[in-house]
Amino acid sequence: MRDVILYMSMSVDGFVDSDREHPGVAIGEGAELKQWKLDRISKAGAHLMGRVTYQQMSSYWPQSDDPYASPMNDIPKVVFSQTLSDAEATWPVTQIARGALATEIAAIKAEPGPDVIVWGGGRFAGALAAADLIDEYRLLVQPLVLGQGRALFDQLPDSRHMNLIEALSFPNGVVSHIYRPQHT
Amino acid sequence: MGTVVAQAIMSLDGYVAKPDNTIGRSFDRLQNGEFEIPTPVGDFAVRQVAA
Repeated sequence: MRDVILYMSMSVDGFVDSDREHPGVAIGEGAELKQWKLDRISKAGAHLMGRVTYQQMSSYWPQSDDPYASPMNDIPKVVFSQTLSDAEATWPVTQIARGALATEIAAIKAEPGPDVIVWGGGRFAGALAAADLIDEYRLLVQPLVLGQGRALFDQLPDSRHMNLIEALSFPNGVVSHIYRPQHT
Repeated sequence: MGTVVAQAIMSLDGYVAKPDNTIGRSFDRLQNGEFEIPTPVGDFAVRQVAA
């Protein structure tokens, strides 16, 4: 069964989105982190995302010549939405997941192929985290404190313990924290 | 000129205390006045008393 892996940029204080700055773009990525991400993104079996993130990405990556464009365009996408129509899902190749989160994720995990990546946005990723549907968290902690915003874990019904798999720092000050939830 | 260093134990989502500014079950003993910590051998205990 393949894993569901979340990639998420996060401020030091745990926010993944904010009116002040966005942790995903506030800090320059740098060549080392970009290559680290490319090496992993390129091996994904699918990109999973919510509707808003899908609409942002689908309007950007098909016209981009950035090194990220190839894995983003070539690997299948799954967008979780109750409202997006088939006609609006024009980014090749897109599947719309309209069912319950747990049911849809279970079906994706049961399909053959490489692990799948969750991108966000924050509310979608938070819902997956709250339902314990993420097998591995790859949190890119930015050297940035926001003080307020959307927290990745604010939908959790209770505290949760994690196993640290790896911590890796990059020259731009970003630290990749990789965790897997403890299931005792 | 000296440097002010902040040191905190923090969850990965940035929390350092409960909303009421207490610091949780593991450290309740530090905020509950006099207490006794039993030891495994049983013939003595460690006590903290108010100063």
